Amino acid sequence: MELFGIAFAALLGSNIILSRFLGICPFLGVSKKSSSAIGMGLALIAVVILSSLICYGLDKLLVLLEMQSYLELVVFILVIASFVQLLEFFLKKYIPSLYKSLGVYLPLITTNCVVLQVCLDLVSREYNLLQTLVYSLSVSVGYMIVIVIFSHIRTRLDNSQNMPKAFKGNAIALITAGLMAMAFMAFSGFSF
Amino acid sequence: MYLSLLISSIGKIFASIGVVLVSIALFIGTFLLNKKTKKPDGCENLDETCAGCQLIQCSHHPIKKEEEIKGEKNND
Repeated sequence: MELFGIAFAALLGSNIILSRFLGICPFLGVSKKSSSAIGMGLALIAVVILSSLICYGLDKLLVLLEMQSYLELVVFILVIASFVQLLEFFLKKYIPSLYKSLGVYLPLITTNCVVLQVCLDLVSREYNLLQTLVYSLSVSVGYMIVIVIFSHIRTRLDNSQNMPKAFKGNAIALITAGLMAMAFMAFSGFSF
Repeated sequence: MYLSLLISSIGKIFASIGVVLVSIALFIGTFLLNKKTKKPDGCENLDETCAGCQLIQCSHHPIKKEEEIKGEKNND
């Protein structure tokens, strides 16, 4: 039940985009087309899960060295950046079709603060390995759900003929994100 | 007693520096590995498919390319 609570909160109740406003740049930038949003979401799931597992192990090592508070940020950033490079290499070499579909969005994951925040959350909340896995999977899937829903809404808004000129582009995108955040607040009332 | 405590704390400092150096080496290694790997067929000009988002720091953003072209013209 505890794991379900962690998963539900990360997916919907405390969604990392709509309740903590992290990863807003790619959220606004890569949500113009649903295919790009799905690609970004899938790449983020892979990077978040694997980098959080590596960071979990590294955190245990830093605790042993009593250098956790000084080094965790530096080491985590380097691990995430390395992992994105490794993922790009792997896709280039073995899955060229996926590399082509992700295109320029792949390096953008390095600048996505969601990845770093998940690693920092694991440390501050003192999760065990299973909780780490469930939390990182739920956060990244929650990110993907929101960005895909948002991309579909944006497509409809872009095709709208009655949109006032002042609202076009980012203005209506931010208003929509705000309305989505209010809608997702309903999930925060659930407790497990 | 104090000496052993000092040695252990110095050891921890060196081990921490080692962890950071390994992380930096890992990043440099993966970066070079990725850079040297040839892009698959049909993916040579993926940058041109990018229409640009709000991340103007990104090296793929069209603004960066315009700046590069301007810089080259100024150098000429």
